[in-house]
Amino acid sequence: MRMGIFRGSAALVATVLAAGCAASTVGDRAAGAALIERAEGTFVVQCMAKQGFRYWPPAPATADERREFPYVVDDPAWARAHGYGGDLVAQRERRQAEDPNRRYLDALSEDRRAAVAAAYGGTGSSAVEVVVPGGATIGQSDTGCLAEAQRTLYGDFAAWVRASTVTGNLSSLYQPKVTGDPRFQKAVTAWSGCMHSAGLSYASPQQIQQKLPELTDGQSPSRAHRTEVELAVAEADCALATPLSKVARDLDRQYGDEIRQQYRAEVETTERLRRDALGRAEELLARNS
Amino acid sequence: MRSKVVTGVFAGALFGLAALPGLASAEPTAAAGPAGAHSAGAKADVCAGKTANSGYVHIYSGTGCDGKPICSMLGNDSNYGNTKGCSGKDDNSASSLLNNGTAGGGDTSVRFYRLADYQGGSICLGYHQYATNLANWTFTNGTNADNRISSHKWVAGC
Repeated sequence: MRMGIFRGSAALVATVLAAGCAASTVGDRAAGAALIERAEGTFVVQCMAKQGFRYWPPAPATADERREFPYVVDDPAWARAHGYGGDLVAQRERRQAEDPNRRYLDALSEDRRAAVAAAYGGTGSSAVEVVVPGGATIGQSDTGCLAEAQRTLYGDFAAWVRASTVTGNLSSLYQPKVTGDPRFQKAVTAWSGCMHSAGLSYASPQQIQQKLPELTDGQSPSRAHRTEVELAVAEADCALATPLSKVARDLDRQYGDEIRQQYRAEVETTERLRRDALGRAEELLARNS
Repeated sequence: MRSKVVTGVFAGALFGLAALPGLASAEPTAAAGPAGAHSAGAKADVCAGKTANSGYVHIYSGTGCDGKPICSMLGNDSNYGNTKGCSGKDDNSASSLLNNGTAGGGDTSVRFYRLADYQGGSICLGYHQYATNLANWTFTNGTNADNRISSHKWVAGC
Protein backbone atom coordinates (compact mmCIF):
# COMPACT_ATOMS: atom_id res chain seq x y z
CA MET A 1 0.00 0.00 0.00
CA ARG A 2 1.29 3.43 -0.92
CA MET A 3 1.14 5.98 1.85
CA GLY A 4 3.16 8.91 0.58
CA ILE A 5 0.43 11.34 -0.38
CA PHE A 6 -2.53 11.30 1.84
CA ARG A 7 -5.88 13.00 1.51
CA GLY A 8 -7.92 11.10 4.07
CA SER A 9 -9.83 8.71 1.85
CA ALA A 10 -12.47 6.65 3.61
CA ALA A 11 -11.10 3.39 2.20
CA LEU A 12 -7.71 4.10 3.65
CA VAL A 13 -9.23 5.03 6.98
CA ALA A 14 -11.08 1.71 7.03
CA THR A 15 -7.79 -0.06 6.39
CA VAL A 16 -6.13 1.85 9.18
CA LEU A 17 -8.91 1.05 11.62
CA ALA A 18 -8.85 -2.62 10.66
CA ALA A 19 -5.10 -2.59 11.10
CA GLY A 20 -5.58 -1.27 14.61
CA CYS A 21 -7.33 -4.53 15.47
CA ALA A 22 -4.94 -6.82 13.62
CA ALA A 23 -1.17 -6.46 13.58
CA SER A 24 -0.69 -2.84 12.55
CA THR A 25 2.18 -2.16 10.21
CA VAL A 26 4.50 0.79 10.21
CA GLY A 27 2.77 2.17 7.11
CA ASP A 28 -0.72 1.90 8.59
CA ARG A 29 0.40 3.60 11.75
CA ALA A 30 2.00 6.42 9.75
CA ALA A 31 -1.18 6.87 7.71
CA GLY A 32 -3.27 7.01 10.88
CA ALA A 33 -0.98 9.59 12.47
CA ALA A 34 -1.10 11.72 9.31
CA LEU A 35 -4.89 11.55 9.22
CA ILE A 36 -5.19 12.64 12.84
CA GLU A 37 -2.75 15.51 12.26
CA ARG A 38 -4.74 16.60 9.23
CA ALA A 39 -7.96 16.67 11.24
CA GLU A 40 -6.18 18.48 14.07
CA GLY A 41 -5.09 21.14 11.57
CA THR A 42 -8.66 21.56 10.35
CA PHE A 43 -9.95 22.09 13.90
CA VAL A 44 -7.17 24.56 14.63
CA VAL A 45 -8.07 26.60 11.51
CA GLN A 46 -11.69 26.85 12.72
CA CYS A 47 -10.66 27.75 16.27
CA MET A 48 -8.17 30.42 15.14
CA ALA A 49 -10.69 31.89 12.68
CA LYS A 50 -13.21 32.37 15.50
CA GLN A 51 -10.66 34.64 17.16
CA GLY A 52 -9.92 36.50 13.97
CA PHE A 53 -6.59 34.82 13.20
CA ARG A 54 -5.40 32.93 10.18
CA TYR A 55 -3.71 29.54 10.24
CA TRP A 56 -2.40 27.25 7.54
CA PRO A 57 -2.21 23.64 8.72
CA PRO A 58 1.07 21.97 7.81
CA ALA A 59 1.12 18.94 5.51
CA PRO A 60 1.71 15.98 7.83
CA ALA A 61 4.97 14.09 7.47
CA THR A 62 4.84 11.27 4.93
CA ALA A 63 5.18 7.57 5.75
CA ASP A 64 8.77 7.61 4.46
CA GLU A 65 9.56 10.58 6.69
CA ARG A 66 8.12 8.77 9.69
CA ARG A 67 10.39 5.74 9.33
CA GLU A 68 12.98 5.33 12.07
CA PHE A 69 15.76 2.77 12.23
CA PRO A 70 17.01 2.73 15.81
CA TYR A 71 19.48 -0.12 15.29
CA VAL A 72 20.21 -0.57 11.58
CA VAL A 73 18.71 0.52 8.26
CA ASP A 74 17.15 -2.73 7.07
CA ASP A 75 14.82 -1.60 4.29
CA PRO A 76 16.78 -1.58 1.01
CA ALA A 77 13.95 0.18 -0.88
CA TRP A 78 13.88 3.04 1.63
CA ALA A 79 17.69 3.15 1.57
CA ARG A 80 17.74 3.32 -2.26
CA ALA A 81 15.27 6.22 -2.19
CA HIS A 82 16.63 8.17 0.77
CA GLY A 83 20.08 6.94 1.80
CA TYR A 84 20.07 7.88 5.48
CA GLY A 85 17.31 10.42 4.98
CA GLY A 86 19.39 13.49 4.16
CA ASP A 87 17.05 14.24 1.24
CA LEU A 88 14.07 14.13 3.59
CA VAL A 89 15.71 16.62 5.93
CA ALA A 90 16.33 18.96 2.98
CA GLN A 91 12.73 18.55 1.83
CA ARG A 92 11.48 19.37 5.32
CA GLU A 93 13.67 22.49 5.45
CA ARG A 94 12.29 23.67 2.10
CA ARG A 95 8.72 23.20 3.34
CA GLN A 96 9.55 25.00 6.56
CA ALA A 97 11.05 27.93 4.63
CA GLU A 98 7.84 28.17 2.61
CA ASP A 99 5.55 27.87 5.64
CA PRO A 100 2.87 30.57 5.21
CA ASN A 101 2.43 30.78 9.00
CA ARG A 102 5.99 32.02 9.25
CA ARG A 103 5.37 34.85 6.77
CA TYR A 104 2.08 35.68 8.46
CA LEU A 105 3.72 35.92 11.89
CA ASP A 106 6.71 37.88 10.59
CA ALA A 107 4.38 40.51 9.10
CA LEU A 108 2.58 41.14 12.41
CA SER A 109 3.44 43.54 15.21
CA GLU A 110 4.97 41.98 18.32
CA ASP A 111 1.73 42.35 20.28
CA ARG A 112 -0.32 40.80 17.55
CA ARG A 113 2.22 38.00 17.09
CA ALA A 114 2.05 37.19 20.80
CA ALA A 115 -1.76 37.17 20.58
CA VAL A 116 -1.65 34.68 17.68
CA ALA A 117 0.77 32.47 19.58
CA ALA A 118 -1.38 32.56 22.71
CA ALA A 119 -4.51 31.77 20.69
CA TYR A 120 -2.71 28.75 19.23
CA GLY A 121 -0.64 27.42 22.12
CA GLY A 122 -2.49 28.87 25.11
CA THR A 123 -1.49 31.48 27.64
CA GLY A 124 0.32 29.03 29.89
CA SER A 125 -2.20 29.62 32.65
CA SER A 126 -2.58 25.87 33.06
CA ALA A 127 -1.03 22.70 31.77
CA VAL A 128 -1.21 18.95 31.95
CA GLU A 129 1.98 17.45 33.32
CA VAL A 130 3.18 13.90 33.58
CA VAL A 131 6.22 12.29 35.13
CA VAL A 132 7.72 9.94 32.55
CA PRO A 133 9.81 6.86 33.37
CA GLY A 134 13.06 8.06 34.88
CA GLY A 135 11.31 10.91 36.68
CA ALA A 136 11.34 13.82 34.20
CA THR A 137 8.29 16.07 34.17
CA ILE A 138 6.87 16.72 30.71
CA GLY A 139 4.03 19.18 30.29
CA GLN A 140 1.77 20.68 27.69
CA SER A 141 -0.53 23.71 27.89
CA ASP A 142 -4.17 22.70 28.09
CA THR A 143 -5.52 25.98 26.73
CA GLY A 144 -5.43 27.40 23.20
CA CYS A 145 -6.56 26.11 19.83
CA LEU A 146 -4.06 23.24 19.66
CA ALA A 147 -5.23 21.80 22.98
CA GLU A 148 -8.84 22.47 21.97
CA ALA A 149 -8.36 20.54 18.71
CA GLN A 150 -6.69 17.66 20.52
CA ARG A 151 -9.45 17.62 23.11
CA THR A 152 -12.04 17.40 20.33
CA LEU A 153 -10.15 14.55 18.65
CA TYR A 154 -9.00 12.48 21.61
CA GLY A 155 -11.96 13.15 23.91
CA ASP A 156 -9.91 13.24 27.10
CA PHE A 157 -7.04 15.68 26.57
CA ALA A 158 -5.34 15.14 29.93
CA ALA A 159 -5.49 11.35 29.62
CA TRP A 160 -4.11 11.57 26.09
CA VAL A 161 -1.17 13.82 27.02
CA ARG A 162 -0.28 11.69 30.02
CA ALA A 163 -0.58 8.28 28.39
CA SER A 164 0.94 9.15 25.00
CA THR A 165 3.88 11.00 26.58
CA VAL A 166 4.70 8.01 28.75
CA THR A 167 4.43 5.53 25.88
CA GLY A 168 6.49 7.84 23.66
CA ASN A 169 9.27 7.66 26.24
CA LEU A 170 9.47 3.92 26.78
CA SER A 171 12.20 3.16 24.26
CA SER A 172 14.92 4.46 26.61
CA LEU A 173 13.95 1.64 28.95
CA TYR A 174 14.54 -1.19 26.47
CA GLN A 175 16.80 -0.04 23.63
CA PRO A 176 19.92 -0.23 25.85
CA LYS A 177 18.92 -3.82 26.68
CA VAL A 178 18.72 -4.65 22.98
CA THR A 179 22.10 -3.19 22.08
CA GLY A 180 23.68 -4.67 25.22
CA ASP A 181 22.44 -8.19 24.46
CA PRO A 182 25.22 -10.59 23.35
CA ARG A 183 22.96 -11.86 20.54
CA PHE A 184 22.75 -8.33 19.13
CA GLN A 185 26.48 -7.83 19.40
CA LYS A 186 27.17 -11.14 17.70
CA ALA A 187 24.83 -10.15 14.86
CA VAL A 188 26.62 -6.80 14.49
CA THR A 189 29.91 -8.68 14.11
CA ALA A 190 28.37 -10.81 11.35
CA TRP A 191 27.00 -7.67 9.68
CA SER A 192 30.45 -6.06 9.85
CA GLY A 193 31.93 -9.13 8.10
CA CYS A 194 29.34 -8.80 5.33
CA MET A 195 30.16 -5.11 4.89
CA HIS A 196 33.86 -5.93 4.78
CA SER A 197 33.23 -8.40 1.96
CA ALA A 198 31.55 -5.55 0.08
CA GLY A 199 34.69 -3.47 0.51
CA LEU A 200 33.29 -1.33 3.32
CA SER A 201 35.09 -1.56 6.64
CA TYR A 202 32.72 -0.59 9.41
CA ALA A 203 32.45 -2.20 12.83
CA SER A 204 28.79 -1.19 13.28
CA PRO A 205 25.94 0.79 11.71
CA GLN A 206 26.60 3.37 14.40
CA GLN A 207 30.14 3.84 13.13
CA ILE A 208 28.76 4.73 9.70
CA GLN A 209 26.62 7.41 11.29
CA GLN A 210 29.65 8.79 13.10
CA LYS A 211 31.67 8.98 9.89
CA LEU A 212 28.88 10.18 7.61
CA PRO A 213 29.32 13.94 8.19
CA GLU A 214 33.01 13.62 7.31
CA LEU A 215 32.28 11.44 4.26
CA THR A 216 29.76 13.90 2.81
CA ASP A 217 31.59 17.06 3.90
CA GLY A 218 31.99 19.46 0.97
CA GLN A 219 29.90 17.30 -1.38
CA SER A 220 27.10 18.78 -3.46
CA PRO A 221 23.60 17.72 -2.30
CA SER A 222 23.28 15.22 -5.17
CA ARG A 223 26.76 13.78 -4.56
CA ALA A 224 26.10 13.54 -0.80
CA HIS A 225 22.83 11.76 -1.57
CA ARG A 226 24.69 9.21 -3.74
CA THR A 227 27.22 8.64 -0.94
CA GLU A 228 24.39 8.07 1.53
CA VAL A 229 22.50 5.74 -0.81
CA GLU A 230 25.56 3.62 -1.56
CA LEU A 231 26.32 3.09 2.13
CA ALA A 232 22.72 2.75 3.31
CA VAL A 233 21.87 0.15 0.64
CA ALA A 234 24.95 -1.89 1.60
CA GLU A 235 23.99 -1.53 5.27
CA ALA A 236 20.44 -2.73 4.56
CA ASP A 237 21.51 -5.57 2.27
CA CYS A 238 23.95 -6.82 4.91
CA ALA A 239 21.35 -6.43 7.67
CA LEU A 240 19.14 -8.82 5.68
CA ALA A 241 21.94 -11.13 4.50
CA THR A 242 23.10 -11.65 8.10
CA PRO A 243 20.95 -12.23 11.21
CA LEU A 244 21.20 -8.55 12.26
CA SER A 245 17.83 -7.31 10.99
CA LYS A 246 15.91 -10.22 12.48
CA VAL A 247 17.84 -10.30 15.75
CA ALA A 248 17.37 -6.54 16.26
CA ARG A 249 13.65 -6.74 15.53
CA ASP A 250 13.15 -9.83 17.69
CA LEU A 251 15.04 -8.38 20.65
CA ASP A 252 13.28 -5.02 20.23
CA ARG A 253 9.94 -6.80 20.40
CA GLN A 254 10.99 -9.01 23.31
CA TYR A 255 12.44 -6.26 25.54
CA GLY A 256 9.85 -3.76 24.31
CA ASP A 257 6.97 -6.09 25.21
CA GLU A 258 8.37 -6.50 28.73
CA ILE A 259 8.38 -2.74 29.22
CA ARG A 260 5.01 -2.24 27.51
CA GLN A 261 3.59 -4.85 29.87
CA GLN A 262 4.99 -2.89 32.78
CA TYR A 263 3.31 0.28 31.46
CA ARG A 264 0.26 -1.53 30.18
CA ALA A 265 -2.31 1.01 31.41
CA GLU A 266 -0.60 3.87 29.52
CA VAL A 267 -0.06 1.77 26.40
CA GLU A 268 -3.70 0.68 26.32
CA THR A 269 -5.00 4.18 26.97
CA THR A 270 -2.79 5.56 24.21
CA GLU A 271 -4.04 2.95 21.73
CA ARG A 272 -7.69 3.43 22.71
CA LEU A 273 -7.58 7.22 22.48
CA ARG A 274 -5.68 7.04 19.20
CA ARG A 275 -8.39 4.79 17.74
CA ASP A 276 -11.06 7.20 19.00
CA ALA A 277 -9.22 10.12 17.41
CA LEU A 278 -8.89 8.23 14.14
CA GLY A 279 -12.64 7.64 14.09
CA ARG A 280 -13.38 11.31 14.76
CA ALA A 281 -10.80 12.39 12.18
CA GLU A 282 -12.45 10.13 9.61
CA GLU A 283 -15.88 11.65 10.31
CA LEU A 284 -14.58 15.19 10.08
CA LEU A 285 -12.64 14.67 6.86
CA ALA A 286 -15.52 12.74 5.26
CA ARG A 287 -17.85 15.66 6.08
CA ASN A 288 -15.40 18.12 4.56
CA SER A 289 -14.58 16.16 1.43
CA MET B 1 2.91 7.16 37.67
CA ARG B 2 2.50 10.66 39.09
CA SER B 3 0.54 13.12 37.03
CA LYS B 4 -1.34 16.28 37.69
CA VAL B 5 -2.93 19.33 36.23
CA VAL B 6 -1.00 22.45 37.04
CA THR B 7 -2.62 25.81 37.33
CA GLY B 8 -0.56 28.92 37.54
CA VAL B 9 -0.91 32.66 37.62
CA PHE B 10 1.43 33.52 34.76
CA ALA B 11 -0.04 35.04 31.65
CA GLY B 12 1.61 34.06 28.40
CA ALA B 13 1.84 37.65 27.26
CA LEU B 14 4.22 38.41 30.09
CA PHE B 15 6.61 35.85 28.75
CA GLY B 16 5.85 36.28 25.11
CA LEU B 17 8.83 38.46 24.44
CA ALA B 18 11.29 36.73 26.71
CA ALA B 19 12.62 34.51 23.98
CA LEU B 20 12.17 36.12 20.62
CA PRO B 21 12.80 33.57 17.90
CA GLY B 22 16.07 33.34 16.07
CA LEU B 23 18.26 34.78 18.74
CA ALA B 24 20.94 32.53 20.09
CA SER B 25 21.39 34.66 23.15
CA ALA B 26 24.90 35.32 24.36
CA GLU B 27 23.68 35.99 27.86
CA PRO B 28 24.12 33.11 30.26
CA THR B 29 20.91 32.06 31.88
CA ALA B 30 20.55 32.62 35.58
CA ALA B 31 20.55 29.39 37.51
CA ALA B 32 17.18 28.24 38.70
CA GLY B 33 18.26 28.72 42.27
CA PRO B 34 19.00 26.18 44.95
CA ALA B 35 17.05 22.98 44.94
CA GLY B 36 13.76 23.44 46.65
CA ALA B 37 13.71 27.19 46.06
CA HIS B 38 10.71 26.69 43.80
CA SER B 39 8.05 24.07 44.02
CA ALA B 40 7.93 21.72 41.03
CA GLY B 41 4.60 23.26 40.06
CA ALA B 42 5.92 26.82 39.98
CA LYS B 43 8.82 25.90 37.71
CA ALA B 44 6.49 24.06 35.39
CA ASP B 45 4.28 27.10 35.12
CA VAL B 46 7.20 29.14 33.80
CA CYS B 47 7.71 26.60 30.98
CA ALA B 48 4.00 26.54 30.21
CA GLY B 49 3.84 30.34 30.29
CA LYS B 50 6.52 30.54 27.62
CA THR B 51 4.47 28.73 25.03
CA ALA B 52 3.83 32.08 23.39
CA ASN B 53 7.02 31.98 21.29
CA SER B 54 6.09 30.44 17.99
CA GLY B 55 7.94 28.20 15.63
CA TYR B 56 11.07 27.39 17.58
CA VAL B 57 12.51 24.84 19.95
CA HIS B 58 14.00 26.63 22.95
CA ILE B 59 16.92 25.28 24.98
CA TYR B 60 17.57 26.53 28.51
CA SER B 61 20.59 26.06 30.74
CA GLY B 62 18.47 26.45 33.88
CA THR B 63 15.68 24.18 35.01
CA GLY B 64 12.04 25.18 34.56
CA CYS B 65 12.75 27.19 31.38
CA ASP B 66 14.22 29.84 33.62
CA GLY B 67 15.47 33.07 32.03
CA LYS B 68 16.32 33.41 28.37
CA PRO B 69 16.96 30.32 26.26
CA ILE B 70 20.65 29.73 25.52
CA CYS B 71 19.49 29.12 21.97
CA SER B 72 16.28 28.91 19.94
CA MET B 73 16.16 27.00 16.67
CA LEU B 74 13.74 26.67 13.76
CA GLY B 75 15.62 23.75 12.23
CA ASN B 76 18.07 21.00 13.11
CA ASP B 77 21.44 21.48 14.77
CA SER B 78 23.92 18.66 14.23
CA ASN B 79 26.52 20.02 16.64
CA TYR B 80 26.03 22.42 19.54
CA GLY B 81 29.81 22.60 19.78
CA ASN B 82 30.28 24.48 16.51
CA THR B 83 29.43 28.07 15.65
CA LYS B 84 26.10 27.50 13.86
CA GLY B 85 22.83 27.67 15.84
CA CYS B 86 23.37 26.47 19.39
CA SER B 87 27.07 27.12 19.65
CA GLY B 88 30.11 26.40 21.72
CA LYS B 89 29.20 26.97 25.34
CA ASP B 90 25.67 25.70 24.62
CA ASP B 91 27.09 22.20 24.19
CA ASN B 92 26.33 19.93 27.14
CA SER B 93 24.51 22.67 29.04
CA ALA B 94 20.78 22.15 28.48
CA SER B 95 18.68 21.54 31.60
CA SER B 96 15.17 22.29 30.36
CA LEU B 97 13.47 22.34 26.96
CA LEU B 98 10.44 23.82 25.25
CA ASN B 99 9.13 22.68 21.87
CA ASN B 100 7.16 25.56 20.48
CA GLY B 101 7.29 24.56 16.83
CA THR B 102 4.67 25.16 14.18
CA ALA B 103 5.31 21.93 12.27
CA GLY B 104 5.94 24.03 9.18
CA GLY B 105 8.14 21.30 7.76
CA GLY B 106 5.67 18.58 8.74
CA ASP B 107 7.62 17.48 11.78
CA THR B 108 6.08 18.05 15.17
CA SER B 109 8.61 16.68 17.65
CA VAL B 110 12.25 17.20 18.52
CA ARG B 111 14.77 14.46 19.26
CA PHE B 112 17.78 15.56 21.32
CA TYR B 113 21.00 13.55 21.22
CA ARG B 114 23.80 12.83 23.66
CA LEU B 115 26.45 13.43 20.99
CA ALA B 116 26.94 15.60 17.92
CA ASP B 117 25.65 14.37 14.54
CA TYR B 118 22.57 12.81 16.16
CA GLN B 119 24.65 10.11 17.85
CA GLY B 120 24.59 8.39 21.20
CA GLY B 121 21.25 8.00 22.92
CA SER B 122 18.35 10.39 22.52
CA ILE B 123 15.29 11.84 24.24
CA CYS B 124 12.21 13.01 22.36
CA LEU B 125 10.01 16.02 23.14
CA GLY B 126 6.51 16.03 21.64
CA TYR B 127 4.68 18.86 19.91
CA HIS B 128 4.23 21.91 22.12
CA GLN B 129 5.57 20.06 25.13
CA TYR B 130 8.18 21.13 27.66
CA ALA B 131 10.58 19.30 29.94
CA THR B 132 11.20 21.09 33.22
CA ASN B 133 14.33 19.34 34.43
CA LEU B 134 16.62 17.07 32.44
CA ALA B 135 18.27 15.79 35.63
CA ASN B 136 15.52 13.20 35.72
CA TRP B 137 15.56 12.19 32.07
CA THR B 138 17.51 9.33 30.53
CA PHE B 139 18.74 9.03 26.94
CA THR B 140 17.87 5.87 25.01
CA ASN B 141 21.42 4.64 25.64
CA GLY B 142 20.78 4.73 29.38
CA THR B 143 22.79 7.85 30.35
CA ASN B 144 21.35 10.91 32.08
CA ALA B 145 20.41 13.80 29.79
CA ASP B 146 21.17 16.80 32.01
CA ASN B 147 23.96 19.00 30.63
CA ARG B 148 24.68 16.36 27.99
CA ILE B 149 22.70 17.36 24.88
CA SER B 150 24.91 18.00 21.85
CA SER B 151 22.56 17.95 18.84
CA HIS B 152 18.89 17.88 17.94
CA LYS B 153 16.66 17.23 14.97
CA TRP B 154 12.96 17.56 14.21
CA VAL B 155 11.10 14.28 13.80
CA ALA B 156 7.56 13.31 12.84
CA GLY B 157 6.66 12.06 16.32
CA CYS B 158 7.98 10.57 19.53
